[in-house]
Amino acid sequence: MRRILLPAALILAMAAAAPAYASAGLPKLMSLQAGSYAATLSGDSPSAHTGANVLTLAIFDLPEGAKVSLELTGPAGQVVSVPLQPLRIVEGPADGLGEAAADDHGATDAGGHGGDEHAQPASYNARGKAELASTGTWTAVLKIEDAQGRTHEARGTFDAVKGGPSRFYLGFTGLLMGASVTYGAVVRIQNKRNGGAR
Amino acid sequence: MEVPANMAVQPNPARRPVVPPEESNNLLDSAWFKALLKSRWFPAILSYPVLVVFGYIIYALLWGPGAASANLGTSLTWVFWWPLIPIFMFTMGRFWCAICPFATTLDFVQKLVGLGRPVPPWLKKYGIWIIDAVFILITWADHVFGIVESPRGSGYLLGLMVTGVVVTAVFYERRAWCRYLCFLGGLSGNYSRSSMIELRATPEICATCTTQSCYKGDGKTPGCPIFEFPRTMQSTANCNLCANCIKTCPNDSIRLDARIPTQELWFVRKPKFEESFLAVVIVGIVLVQNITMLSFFGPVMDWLMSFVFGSKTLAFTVLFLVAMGVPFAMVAGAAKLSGKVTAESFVQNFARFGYAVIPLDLAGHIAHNMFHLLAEGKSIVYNTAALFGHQITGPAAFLPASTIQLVQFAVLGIGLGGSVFTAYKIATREKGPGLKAFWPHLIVLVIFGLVNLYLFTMPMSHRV
Repeated sequence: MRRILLPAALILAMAAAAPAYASAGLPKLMSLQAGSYAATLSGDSPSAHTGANVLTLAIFDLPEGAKVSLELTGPAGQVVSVPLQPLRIVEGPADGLGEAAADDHGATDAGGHGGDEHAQPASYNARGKAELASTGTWTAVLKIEDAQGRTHEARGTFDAVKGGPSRFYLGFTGLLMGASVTYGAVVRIQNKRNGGAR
Repeated sequence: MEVPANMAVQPNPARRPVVPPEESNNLLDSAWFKALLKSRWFPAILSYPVLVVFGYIIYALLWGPGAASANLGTSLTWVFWWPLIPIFMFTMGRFWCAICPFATTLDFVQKLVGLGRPVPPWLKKYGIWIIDAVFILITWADHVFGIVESPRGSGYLLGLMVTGVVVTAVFYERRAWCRYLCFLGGLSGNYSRSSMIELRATPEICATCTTQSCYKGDGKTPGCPIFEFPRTMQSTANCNLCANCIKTCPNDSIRLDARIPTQELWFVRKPKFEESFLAVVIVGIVLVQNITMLSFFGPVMDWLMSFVFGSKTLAFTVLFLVAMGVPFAMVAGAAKLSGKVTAESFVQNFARFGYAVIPLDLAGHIAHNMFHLLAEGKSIVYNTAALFGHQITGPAAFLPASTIQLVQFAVLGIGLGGSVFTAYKIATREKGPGLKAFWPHLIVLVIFGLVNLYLFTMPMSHRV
């Protein structure tokens, strides 16, 4: 009995210490209001990070002929212009844009697929890649120039964290692999010198 | 490990018995197919491109977008590869293992710095238990840390596996990792027993063979990487169809026969408890995967959390242990009852009949992942397009829900039929109580099938 209970207790103790994690589809970074135009800016990760970020901009009720631009200002004042590319949506409403995606068995996917407060699809969807050089608070500046030449601006901030895998993980796996390979190489060389087979 | 190049290879005078072409199931009777397998480019022509794609996947998972829906690595791994792999196993046995990027990495490292030490006896003895434990741990970790849903989590898992591969490649001979440690290898081994093809040697030819080059290699081509000796091999579980033995056999003894799916499970000569245990564990894993998607899962979790200091992880762990334990307890109960009839111990009966669950496991796995492939498959197209600078998005489904559900039910029905028939064949294989020993296992299998069927009528959540 003890042989079963002890490992079970150990597993439960470890489980208690482990954090629960839930991921999201296209995580929303912020909502923006430029004049009368409501917009959402989504990232490609639960939070913006250093390195390449794919940003998705959705604007609701944008009139035809309006020009849209997005700039990011970093903590050190650096300015990154996001080259927005219109997003081609094939075969109807898209997962990850605007409406919560109902899955094929009829359930609403709470896993994130970009579900937000706007029920109707956005009239403008665009995506662009932005290289964030440093961690810290960044400011997104959205500018919409309507057909009459009036410019509407909205600003919002988000925090960028360090991107990529943890250093501990990279160090641990790298060290283990490096040490094994080095050991193998050294023993092979020694064996060769001694004239022995590997 | 390998036979020196100058070692004389004596062709065996015995030739293959002449079988009329219309009666032969041997795929190697096709000249072009045989030439393909004998080619020195096989399986490298497939394994190296797979390694390149795998390298990109690791990069994308660790350094790419953190959202699963935007990460091509996640789409390729969990929406494309993982659903297709059980279908591969059913149709082509363990062939994936021959072109698996882990195995290619292993071969490369081994060639470079491998010490070729023999596999320690403890690893041979407990390898399958390690695989069982790792499989359970990964399933648990997936729900707690979100391995499938999190590109980083998936990347960490694959990276840890690469580390394990490199370490074993340096120390141990052949593909010790694939045979004794890889949980995918364990899964492949189990599922491949239900497969449609089998590689076997021809006993009449091998009887007088003195070279054993299928195991040792012939100097140009290494011997069996998975430590199998085709001459005595009776299972597909540890054959990855790498074709090394086809290349090295000087007597043309190797056959690659088409067979009735599940046939191998009817006549397992030396049933092993740990292999049957893995089959039953997979029932639990499928149960866990599906149960977390049910509407009552949330309230049950809330209720459990009130007993375990409000910890969601702890509550899930309790539920996980119960979900894993119930299928085991049910098969164990059936084995106890059936064992009384056959005068076998619980362990013996469990080991013998546990294999009957494999077709249902395989069908459940295919049916579950059919949803991800058919309902989310287009995400692969969108994310691949994004890789080349084209921003496209849209619904991810290939087929409507009702069609996918029908496919799932059909697959599950076939799997249940396969399991029931396998249990029947196992029970009636030897003279004795026959059907009396079959009934307890039949009831358990039908319950497993009905539970799976019910779960597939429930809403499922997406992976990307």
